[in-house]
Amino acid sequence: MIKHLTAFLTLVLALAAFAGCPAPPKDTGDSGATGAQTDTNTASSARPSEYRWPLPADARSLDPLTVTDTVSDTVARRMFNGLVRFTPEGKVTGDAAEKWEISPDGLVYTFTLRSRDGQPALKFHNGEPLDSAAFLFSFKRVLDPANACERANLLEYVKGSADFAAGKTPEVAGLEAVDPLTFRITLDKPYTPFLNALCLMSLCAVPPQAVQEAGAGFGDKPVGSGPYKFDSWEREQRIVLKANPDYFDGQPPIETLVFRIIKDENTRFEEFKAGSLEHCDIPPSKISEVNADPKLKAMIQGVPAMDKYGYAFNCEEAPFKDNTALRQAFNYAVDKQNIVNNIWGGLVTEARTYVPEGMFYYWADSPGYAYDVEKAKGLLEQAGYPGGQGLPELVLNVDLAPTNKLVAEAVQEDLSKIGVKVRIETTDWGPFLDKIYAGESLFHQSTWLTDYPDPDNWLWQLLDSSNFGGKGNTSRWSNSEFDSFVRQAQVELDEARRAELYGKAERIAFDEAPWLLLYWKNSSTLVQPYVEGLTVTRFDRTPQLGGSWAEKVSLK
Amino acid sequence: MRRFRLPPLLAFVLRRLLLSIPVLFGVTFICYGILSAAPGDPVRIIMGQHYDPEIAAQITKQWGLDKPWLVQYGRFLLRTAQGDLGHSYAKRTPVGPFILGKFKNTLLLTLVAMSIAIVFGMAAGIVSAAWPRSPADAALMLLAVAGISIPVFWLGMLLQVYFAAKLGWLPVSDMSYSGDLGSLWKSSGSYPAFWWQAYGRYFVLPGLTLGTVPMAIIARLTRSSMLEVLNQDYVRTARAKGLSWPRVVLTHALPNALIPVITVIGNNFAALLTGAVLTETVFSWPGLGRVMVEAISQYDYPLVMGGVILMACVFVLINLIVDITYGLIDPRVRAA
Repeated sequence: MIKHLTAFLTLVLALAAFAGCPAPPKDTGDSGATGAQTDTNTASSARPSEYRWPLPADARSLDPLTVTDTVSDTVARRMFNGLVRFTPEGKVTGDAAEKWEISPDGLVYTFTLRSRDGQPALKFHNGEPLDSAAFLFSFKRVLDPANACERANLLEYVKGSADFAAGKTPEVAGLEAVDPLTFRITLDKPYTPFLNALCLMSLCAVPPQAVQEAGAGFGDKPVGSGPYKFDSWEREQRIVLKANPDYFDGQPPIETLVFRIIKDENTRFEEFKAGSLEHCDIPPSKISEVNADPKLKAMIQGVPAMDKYGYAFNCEEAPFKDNTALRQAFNYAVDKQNIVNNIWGGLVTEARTYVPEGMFYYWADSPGYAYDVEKAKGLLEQAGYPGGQGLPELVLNVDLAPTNKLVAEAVQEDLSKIGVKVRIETTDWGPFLDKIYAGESLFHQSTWLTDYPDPDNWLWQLLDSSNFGGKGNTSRWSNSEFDSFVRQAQVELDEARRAELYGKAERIAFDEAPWLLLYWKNSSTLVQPYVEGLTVTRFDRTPQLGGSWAEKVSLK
Repeated sequence: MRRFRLPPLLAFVLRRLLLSIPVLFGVTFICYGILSAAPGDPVRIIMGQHYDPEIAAQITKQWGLDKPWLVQYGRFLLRTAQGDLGHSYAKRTPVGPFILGKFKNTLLLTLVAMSIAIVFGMAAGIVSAAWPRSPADAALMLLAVAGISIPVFWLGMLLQVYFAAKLGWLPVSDMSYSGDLGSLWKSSGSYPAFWWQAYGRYFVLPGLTLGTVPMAIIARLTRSSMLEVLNQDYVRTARAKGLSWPRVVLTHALPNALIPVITVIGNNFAALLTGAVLTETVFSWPGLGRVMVEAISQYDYPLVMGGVILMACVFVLINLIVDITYGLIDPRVRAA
């Protein structure tokens, strides 16, 4: 009997030890080109040979067609090129296109691709040329309803896109590969933020031949054209990319990028402290630890991000319907600084505006809604509910994140001081979205991470009356004057004039207060001192840092 | 005429496997029903802040979610019978290979954790029972109570902070070396050293964390079961014949005390295999538990259903193995 048991245990142990065990790699003669690394464990004094980049979730897909989340974007961004891209400051610059011209009426965009000796300068990693035909193929792929691309609406203003999507025409009238180096896009109507949309991942070029060969499996083993090539993907564990020696802009200084999928924020933090990550985010629960440690504190980089956290009032339902004073009263009643300092340890920034800082337009001297209980009480009386009398108990809907619940409790307490009773309802993300998109919630959490740094992505997207519900306007607020300003700004080509229009629109929104303004999240990141050239930008989110140029980053 | 009869063990196994088919039907039916009835739309979750009703309708149709749930369930059964578990909504990859890959990782961790639990748990239980009320007994059982009571994630984080982040002896998380294996092979010199650096050391902390609770349960159960047996007449007889105490304990008492212990080992094994969410999260272990929790919160029907089928199979198989093991240990069970 004991023999059986011993044999069983030995078998179990042996299995455990050897199943899935890696074979020693074959000696290729010169595998140590990047320098041997003996121990990644101890906080390394030696320069690591690869950049270890934490991700809070696994990538969904690495096919640009299906990349809509920040995590997949971070990885895919390293491998693909669009016509244009954003600089870390959020300005549009050439990517595969060297230059472009926009016709005076704002309808025709003509892109000239980068060339070398008359040939396209960029090549896909499988050798296919990145020419205008590749862009035509990629854009049609996005519009093809068979692919159900979530971001097909980025091209909705392209002439003939609707006919193509409906199967009426085999080609898109507004997309034209004039010659291998010239790509022309014609729009139905002027849409000034269009260049921003072209920077997004879904509109990057994919190699036609490789996509046709791989079919639906392209996202598992992508072939791009960017500074890094796909190497391997262990789902839920890591993604490895290798530098592209033939990149038109030169091989990036870091040979290997290892994206490590670490879902727990505390684990990421411990990994960073152990020296096995080059950067990481700061978990809210560790803020005091970081602040108390001068070594860690010196490693913080960060700016307020274009990442909103606040609440929205449902302006179609009583008591918020047609009651600006009530909505303003709520804004004055909440002590934003208390939330910023006591819940977030100063790692967020009080929101005073509807459009975040960092674009060509920003309302720098907005007064915000300074915490003022007396003023709030006065407004509440003006709203017809003196001391909160006559107001029913209001349900505040938030999702399940622990910090969001803390914030909701702080708001609840502040509102109780002016006599408003609030009940907090926490819901799973799915049912939460159902509720707020359908307009069934009266008062709810409202978040937005900028897609592209243009006020259009904020004011039009989130507050125009044509965008009720899932498209962005969950406060279901509508104001025809506001609508006309933000719609004019979409077709206006002059930046100064656009800024003026957005200024007028934002003041209307601010005064009518469809939102309860709370804070902007900061992109605070811990970066190892030997990492050079990493700039954490405003329209980035940590730990992803997809928009900050990894290509130029080096390890000293 | 003599009727053909299968060997009893084989007949038993076959009967049990056939019985598992209705179990799988029931499990998938209930799960699919619950998923469909739960509020929340998978398409909405996938699209997040870029919700566009027109595109959402396209995706809903592509995934077949526009049909009534019984039709969806029927299609699911048909596909599954052909060995196709579908594509995950959130991961955009075939469910079958994905889930098997994650299950392999969970299996490896479970084997390590259960080995630790069985070896140390049983040893502690035997020592405690052989010398009851001795200081060793008191100390071991105190440890066992602590082991059952400690929250797993807390223990994991504690081990992580101390042995990994502070002392740097072991990796903080992950399940294998993330760097270039070629240069690691060059610098390590021998295969065992390479194996340890690339692989082995990653198992220590999660294995220990995950093994603690079953270890404590096994220790306590072995002790009480052994004590019962050690009071029996045949043990006294064996002693009277002049056998040494360790020999009596190990060869006469232990086999008879094992049945309840094996049951518990089996149950714990199955529980760990179907996902150790907390340990996997703390140590970034790419296993099944974490993936399943995420799939449920994302309404990723194909992935959830794939996981449910796999887990149901695991439970059925482990129960079968436990029942067969009873027979090996105790001939009376086999006869019955």
